[in-house]
Amino acid sequence: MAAQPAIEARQLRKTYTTTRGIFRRERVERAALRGVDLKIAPGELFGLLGPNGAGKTTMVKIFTTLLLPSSGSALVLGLDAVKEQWALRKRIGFVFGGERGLYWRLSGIDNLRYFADLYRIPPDVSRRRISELLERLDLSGRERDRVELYSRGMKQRLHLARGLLNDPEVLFLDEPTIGLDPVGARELRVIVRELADAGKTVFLTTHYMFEADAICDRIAVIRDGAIVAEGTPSSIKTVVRDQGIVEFEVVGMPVERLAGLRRLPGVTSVAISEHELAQVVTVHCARPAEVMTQLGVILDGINLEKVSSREPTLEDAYVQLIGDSQ
Amino acid sequence: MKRLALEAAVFGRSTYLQYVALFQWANPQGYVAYKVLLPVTQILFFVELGVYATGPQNALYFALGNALQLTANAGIFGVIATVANERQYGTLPILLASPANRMVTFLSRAIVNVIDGIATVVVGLAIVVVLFGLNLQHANLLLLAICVVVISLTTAGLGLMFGSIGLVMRDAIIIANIVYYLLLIVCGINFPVSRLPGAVQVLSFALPLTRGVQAARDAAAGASLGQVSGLLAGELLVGLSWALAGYLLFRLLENWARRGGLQEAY
Repeated sequence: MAAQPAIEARQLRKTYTTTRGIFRRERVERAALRGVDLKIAPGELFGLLGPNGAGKTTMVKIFTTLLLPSSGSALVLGLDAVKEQWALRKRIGFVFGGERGLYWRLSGIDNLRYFADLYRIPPDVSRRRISELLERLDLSGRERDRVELYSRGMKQRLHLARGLLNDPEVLFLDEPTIGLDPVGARELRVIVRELADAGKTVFLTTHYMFEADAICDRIAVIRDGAIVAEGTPSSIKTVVRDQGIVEFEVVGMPVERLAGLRRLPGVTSVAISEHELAQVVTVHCARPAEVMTQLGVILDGINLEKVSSREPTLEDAYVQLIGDSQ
Repeated sequence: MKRLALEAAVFGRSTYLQYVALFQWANPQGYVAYKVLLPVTQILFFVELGVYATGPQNALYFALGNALQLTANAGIFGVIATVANERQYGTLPILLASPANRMVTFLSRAIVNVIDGIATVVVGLAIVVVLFGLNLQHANLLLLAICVVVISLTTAGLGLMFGSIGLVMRDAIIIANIVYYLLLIVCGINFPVSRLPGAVQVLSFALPLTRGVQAARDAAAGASLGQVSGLLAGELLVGLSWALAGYLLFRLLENWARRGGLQEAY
């Protein structure tokens, strides 16, 4: 780790306070971040993984100066995201996933011109950079079309172009591939990897394991506002090194029938996901062979299909870290 | 000098782009409907109502007042809608996380709407001339034009004040409606301010339009600049005060939104 991290969180906490009720107002507090410590080196492509509501976007908002933490500190390029926001804003870029955040009635190039003006980029620099970004992000030829005519992938590439207008040293990407088709998502991942290879520090949030596995130098897993694992993708996989995975498909099985599986010795988690008409059950356990022999007893009367045992992946490690999930 | 010209060019371009991006009646049909049909309807409604209540001799009073009040269409609705639309399009966080100068951003929200407000009043006055035979033969036209510019500036000042609330409130357009109709009631548009209760008169003179509309009525009747300069100075002062209060509120609410992460709620 270099002397000064590009991004650093020290005991970062954020609690949202809302009120509910009309006549009897009641204050409700929800902790989104619970004392996060994090250090990211310059030039690193860092992935933050976690389920919805785990605190990923909250962390990005704090680092990008949009949100104040309840306590702790958030530093980017050595600048305090709370107190030195004006100096910091010039040196970072950020992209939120989804289609919002662009002016749909303007053309792609006018969107970029407007945002370049917001960053007070000199006109000659802005002209050159916009042209380069349009070319690099494969938007040339369509730059004069209104954004409302763009595909989702084009909008997301325009988002990225916007985030790169000020040539930021640190780029925050909050679920940038969400909603993209596989080809569009892969193209975006390649671009993001290239940006990191070119020396930019990239902070990427995602809940796609393969995405993190494919492009990130280092990842952290966040659950309920706390970091539960941090390291390279291969070091994260060691969480489930001594474990195996048993998977099988069933149709129309009541979820309560899984309780017996969870009680088996060596079983650490049981996850169920819907796959068309079938349910795919994934069992993390220390002794897969033993679990496989017990399946027929515990799920007596249920037609089991495609029963298999395999080595754990990063996704399995993630499921293990996050706990039993749907 | 060259740098200043460059800055002005950038300001002009971003102001124009922002207007096109956020203006909700951007196509020609929508513009005609909003800027011609709506004024005609509003003027007809209040003139008919006024004539029914007070007699035909007052038709021009109602027509002129409502034509001038149309500036609030742009100054109030237009300005408030820019912030409300930023929120709806999800561009507000990008704007607020940028290093853009807040005063420049704040003023650029208003400037095109001021021009639009002037255009709306011109349309309104043309309607009054054609439909109600407003005779401007003895009017001080230059002074009337100055009055129209001044009230367009001052209503936009009030619009900036309430537009700031859009930073933290998702239904700011409701406020635009309330303010618009409040101006119709208390600013001497449809009846003299002197007919209002004393406490409401205090409110009248704390709002833009009241003095400006009176000055415009006087100019239409042939008054000189000297005769209405006090009214115009007061009008400008009121508008400037609202704009300044709006800017301070904008900065205050920007920090408040940072505390609660409210910029994205829509």
